[in-house]
Amino acid sequence: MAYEQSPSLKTYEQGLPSAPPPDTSARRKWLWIIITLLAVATVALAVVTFARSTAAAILVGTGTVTGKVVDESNRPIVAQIFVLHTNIEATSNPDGTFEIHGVPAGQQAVVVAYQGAGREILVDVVAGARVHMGTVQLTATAIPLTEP
Amino acid sequence: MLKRSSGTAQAFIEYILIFGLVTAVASLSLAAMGVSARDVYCTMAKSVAGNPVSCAHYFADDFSNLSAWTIINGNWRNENGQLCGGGREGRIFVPLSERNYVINVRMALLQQGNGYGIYFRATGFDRVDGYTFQYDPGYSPGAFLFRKWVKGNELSPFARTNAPSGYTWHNVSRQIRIEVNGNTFTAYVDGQRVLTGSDNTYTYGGVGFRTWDATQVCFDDLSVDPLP
Repeated sequence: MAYEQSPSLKTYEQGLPSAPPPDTSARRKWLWIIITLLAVATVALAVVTFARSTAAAILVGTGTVTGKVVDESNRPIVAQIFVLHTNIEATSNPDGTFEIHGVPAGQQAVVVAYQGAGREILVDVVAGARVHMGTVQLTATAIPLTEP
Repeated sequence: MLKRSSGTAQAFIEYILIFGLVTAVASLSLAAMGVSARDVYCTMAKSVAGNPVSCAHYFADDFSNLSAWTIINGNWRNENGQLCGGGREGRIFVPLSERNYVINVRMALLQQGNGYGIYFRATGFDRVDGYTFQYDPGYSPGAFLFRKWVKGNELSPFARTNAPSGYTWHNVSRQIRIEVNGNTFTAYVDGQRVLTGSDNTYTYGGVGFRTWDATQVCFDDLSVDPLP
């Protein structure tokens, strides 16, 4: 019996106790096994949740995406470019070219849009490198948005 | 006595620690699986205690007024207790934070034009991100389709099916049902499954309606409910 589990002298003031004090060491051991397993599970799930976050995507590194946007007649257009699951937005230049920095590495969905219609293109971004999407041809929507 | 008190306190702390870790594991597990706590609560509550009022609908509207709705553009109005719109591009929304749900529109009546859309998982209404199911006679030769929206821009359909030959698009009241479950969306028209599509981009958001071009359409009795 561990010293700290030894009964004190006051216990025997009224004579010998009828039963020895309960041994709680086994119960406490199981409690700490359960706590340890739950803590491991919590850390593992926290890692999984973080790995799917935008912050984690940035930590793995970023790259640059370039390209050019033209209309159905191959004329350059000023289009909007979005990288899904990020706050990255850009606009192409008057000559149709664009360059987007800070795109998280990995496969990213890039949307190129013009006058309310767009296309989604999957791009494999490499950390520290430039990836050229090529020329994206868009057709403007037939139904222009109007003010309310 | 002091030792017994300290032993009791230590056991109390251990139980508190276990309770906290169990709560953390449960919350992180739900988040990792993309399941909302409310969805779990409503599923459990329905199986135990019927259908609690708080879980009966996430949202319901008979369109007696449009006070719950945000009009972004278009000519939306209340007509005889129905939501009607059309004549140009129109978008109207109601915000929701739920991830998975079933949209039921008891009456959708396209009177003229090239179709209408029903938004789901919509956020950022001014520059909407989300999805539409579209009842679309204008998409040759007439189709049901799912589109994704990115910052107010519509993308090419990610799921589409042509309607049966001779399908009557106009002046027939249709019941529309859309099941939004994880990354899978299923549309039913008059109880018949017409389309299934899949996309991972958006995980929660509100519902709404869309018109375009010369569309004239009316809707009645919308409900957004937990998945069965």
